[in-house]
Amino acid sequence: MASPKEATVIVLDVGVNSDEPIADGVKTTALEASIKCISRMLQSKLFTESKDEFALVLVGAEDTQNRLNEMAEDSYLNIKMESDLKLVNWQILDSLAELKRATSHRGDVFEGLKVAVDIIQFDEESSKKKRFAKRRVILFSNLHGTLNASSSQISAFAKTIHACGINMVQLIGVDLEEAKESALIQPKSSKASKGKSVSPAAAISELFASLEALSDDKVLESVESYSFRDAMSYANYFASRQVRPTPWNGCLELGETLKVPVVIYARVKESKLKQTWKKSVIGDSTKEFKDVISYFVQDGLVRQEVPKEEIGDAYRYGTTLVPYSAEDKAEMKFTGTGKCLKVVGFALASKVKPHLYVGDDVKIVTAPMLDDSAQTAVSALAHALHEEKMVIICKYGYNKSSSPKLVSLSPHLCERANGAFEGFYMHFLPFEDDLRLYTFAPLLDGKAKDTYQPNDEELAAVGDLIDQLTVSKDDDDGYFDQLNPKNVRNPYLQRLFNSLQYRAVHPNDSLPELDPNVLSQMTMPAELAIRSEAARDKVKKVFELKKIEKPKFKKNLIADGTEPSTEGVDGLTDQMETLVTANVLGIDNTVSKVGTVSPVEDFTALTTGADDHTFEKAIQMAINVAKDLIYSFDGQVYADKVLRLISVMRERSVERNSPTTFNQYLKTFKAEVLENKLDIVWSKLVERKITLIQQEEAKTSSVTKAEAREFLTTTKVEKIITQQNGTKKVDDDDMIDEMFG
Amino acid sequence: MLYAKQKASDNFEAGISMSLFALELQNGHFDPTKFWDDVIVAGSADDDDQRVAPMGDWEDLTALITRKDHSRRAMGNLSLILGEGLELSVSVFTLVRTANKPPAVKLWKKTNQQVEKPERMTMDEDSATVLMPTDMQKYMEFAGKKIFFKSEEIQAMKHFGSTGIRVIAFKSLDALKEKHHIRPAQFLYPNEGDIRGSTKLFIALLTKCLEKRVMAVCRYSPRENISPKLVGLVPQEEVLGEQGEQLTPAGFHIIFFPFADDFRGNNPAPKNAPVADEAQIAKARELVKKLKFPYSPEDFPNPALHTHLKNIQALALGEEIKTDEDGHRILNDFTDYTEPQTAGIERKVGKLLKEFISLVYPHGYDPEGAHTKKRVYEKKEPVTKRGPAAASQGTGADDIAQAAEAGNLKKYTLPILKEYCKSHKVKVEGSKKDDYIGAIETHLAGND
Repeated sequence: MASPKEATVIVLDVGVNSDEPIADGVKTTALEASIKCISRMLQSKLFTESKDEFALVLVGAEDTQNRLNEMAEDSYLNIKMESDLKLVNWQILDSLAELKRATSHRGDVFEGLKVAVDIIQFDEESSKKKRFAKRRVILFSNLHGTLNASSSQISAFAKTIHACGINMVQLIGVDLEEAKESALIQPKSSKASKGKSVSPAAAISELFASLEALSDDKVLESVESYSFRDAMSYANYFASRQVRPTPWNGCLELGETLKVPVVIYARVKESKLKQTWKKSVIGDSTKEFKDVISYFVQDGLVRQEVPKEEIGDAYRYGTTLVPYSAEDKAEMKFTGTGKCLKVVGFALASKVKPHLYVGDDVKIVTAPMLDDSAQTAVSALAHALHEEKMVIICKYGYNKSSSPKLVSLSPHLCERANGAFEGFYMHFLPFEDDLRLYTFAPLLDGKAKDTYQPNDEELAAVGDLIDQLTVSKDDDDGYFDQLNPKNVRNPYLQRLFNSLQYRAVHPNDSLPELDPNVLSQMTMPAELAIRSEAARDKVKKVFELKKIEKPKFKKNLIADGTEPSTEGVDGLTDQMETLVTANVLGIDNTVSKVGTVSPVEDFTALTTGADDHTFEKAIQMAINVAKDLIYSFDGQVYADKVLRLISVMRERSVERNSPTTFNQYLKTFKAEVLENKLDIVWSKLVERKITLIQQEEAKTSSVTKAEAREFLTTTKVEKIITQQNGTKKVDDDDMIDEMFG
Repeated sequence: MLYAKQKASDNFEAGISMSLFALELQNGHFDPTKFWDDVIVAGSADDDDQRVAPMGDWEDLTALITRKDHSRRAMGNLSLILGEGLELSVSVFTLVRTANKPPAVKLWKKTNQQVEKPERMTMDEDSATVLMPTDMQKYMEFAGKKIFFKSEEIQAMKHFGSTGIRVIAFKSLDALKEKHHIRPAQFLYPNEGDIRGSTKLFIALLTKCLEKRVMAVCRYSPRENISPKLVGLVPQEEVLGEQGEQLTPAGFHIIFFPFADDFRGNNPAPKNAPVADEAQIAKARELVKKLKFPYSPEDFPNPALHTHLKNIQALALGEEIKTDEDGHRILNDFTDYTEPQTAGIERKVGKLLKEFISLVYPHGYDPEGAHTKKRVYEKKEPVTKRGPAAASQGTGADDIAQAAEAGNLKKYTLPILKEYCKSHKVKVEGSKKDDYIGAIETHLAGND
């Protein structure tokens, strides 16, 4: 099996009968339903870049075009091979999209199937090899067309299908089992005289029956029929994605003596598109461009670009940066694991809960094919674990150079079509470092606060609601199966596929709105919602739930040139908190920080009526903004803005009698301005007479009038050590000292 | 007392939280109610989990301090929606997440200065002008057709409406299968901050889910720019350790289900594999029981991560670095706890292992050789090591004959092949390696 690709021939009935609705009281016609299923199937093949090949045959078409007709001109009429076997391309999707209306003909689905089988047969004969690992024929029809075949023809055809190595024959449109029960198909009576056509449903059902009789030697894997409705909800089943399975071969080792050969495959792993988004220039997709990444080092006020080759890695040790060269890396890397799967020990399954799994996939472990000894060993271990309710804890090294991981192997025993499957599920387990051992207040067994304790009536109401919303395997409504993860498609992928297809067909239109259907599988079924209404109302009545109104968070628009917070929930809540405090204090709630656009206004708004803590914060923000403005751009341009901000800062600091931070800052500012020769800024500062806050203005200031005057007259650079953080720390320490002292 | 309380609540407002590590007194029980409970509660306001747990000794204390490493912080606050008009507020926490090496900082090697976040620009190749993000679009190509999107459109495709956890239905816990896992779980705990009364409803829900053994199947949209996921809310009761410390808190685990698209059903598996008989299973059970140990993830620090951290420390403190003969560093007092105690296992169950092997494997079965072709291929080393010297001694001749039979002659270097041809008087037409291989093969097949 060099290439695990499939060949699928789709036989689509477009005859006049396909204009009938798929069920009573439903608008959708058989043709529409068929096209929807087929395009969904082809779409996902196209977008997942599958190597599987498809052909499309139309039954009941306006014109006739197929190989069998060329050989026998009177038969196989109105059957058109729309597309021969090939990879899914846009043409096949386009031609499918163009099939809007049923024709006025009535096609013979039996002949259609024959044409389909011929396509596969011809392809493999002409290429002189079996190109495909699997061959499949799918018929889409409500079986209300004509059919002209005798019993002997049917059984002969069944043998042909078998001889061609067709692995799957599926009918979508009629569930034959159901149809049989409802006596839609009359048992073949002797009355059906020769030449007179039998009902297509009966004939197809006969064909399927004879196929099933032949299917014991495993070539023919499935002969199935589904109603349109089932097919639409399970469409994914027909379009399962092919990923070439990559095995991990190795030995499960226990001690030194026991080695069991095993193979590991991924069983569950997030499915993603094979390609990622690529960039191109709008309007000219052929235009060449390149991405340039430049690195800078800030040295005081000088910003210098450094070449990429001169950049190395370092790690933090406390506040120290420790350079870590490539040689260090090679020399110090943790080694000594190697490729392995070694048993550490056996643990109770109850100790290894699903919430501990850290991986992003589920793997299965089996014995290799054709190794009876390994299979027996795996079987013995799996059964032993199953009976003891235990799992194996193993050390796992993927390859020679990977770091070791801990995994659990739990027994996986199930019956499959081709015998019992015995092996293990493999999950990645956390290390000590991966656990976040938070402690939460207890909730159950009466340990919660009395006010949180639900009483019997409340408990009963919730219990009732749960009962109303519980779906079970034994119900007939099918909700249980619908909610099986195996049947729920990823809404994002569905939407992506739809958008891709839409854009491919309508390159200039804007994308359609979100189709609510993609979320329908993930929404409480209407029937459940209605059924549980009374119970829900009861819960609403007995529980007092009150929404706490919070001020609406309004995004502070890009004031400092950065994106509005993209950190998500964490970032948002932080800002919200600031806002909430601000709001409580009666501050204009649209301002949460000092930005570079209108720093003066921001600062004024923030400090109006603020407490000491908020004021301190605001002043720090203002200082940072001033820094940004002066140093990030050409400082001279923004000098006026910065000086205005500084003078407002000064004003406020005087008003509040808290001059320390401001004075300290102004000294730093002076030093930096002089050092960097921003003479214009300095002269403007002198011009505006912005100096240190003196004792006359604020009592707590230690600056004398003379000092303040001198500040503006001397231009000697003083070395100033910023102490802001230091002071605050001492302050906190004091508080603790006070408490414990 | 009043003063202490006031101070504690002041501190809390200044963002200082307090934890008490109470060491067990030699001569009696530590009673937190006398003083500390009040102070700590005053300090932590609503956050009533900061209780005082008495501890045994120094070891517990260090353990607790390391535990406190991560300050408990919710990833987000969301609504849990049980149906039209019925919602409660909950907080989402991460209890387990792979701890990776801390990210490296970029340094300019010349001065060891930290490099700023790099600036990225897109340049037009022809005109050497800078292209703004608004000049760019994105595309994917399928079957030869490029499909273009704007960046905003790609972002918008992930938006599926408002955030929240919406219950779809409840299902028996039996429906939760081993294969229902796609990313690490999260944890749900009530949050009284957005909807008052949430905690009580949460407790009722948890109690009933545990009692009925059901989970809630939900659509989970944690953020607006993350597409919704199918999850199960699995009820968890509180699990306490021997000393009364909390091992697992009470609440709901959010278990992420895979989607239909994520299952891979085409893995090859042995067909009609033999099933072990009772004697074999019984022996395996004996083994399993003998090697049972009380598993706890806390017993396994990540060896690769800890090696890394120790390395950084050694470099920072200028410790002497010893290396082994391969040039790898030897770490002192470092134990890899993930490594099985092979010697111990052999001592304990060595006999049992041999019995099991003789029960399941036929005599002479070589599990490592059982890996057919691939294994042989991997054993390249001995061949290459042989080199021309070995071949000139004539010992390579048998190997070459064997290799020729297996069609592996290509592995040998040209000098070896030449040497062989010379010593076995094989006539070669041409001077390419393939010519030599062909000649040797015909020679050995006895056709020349």
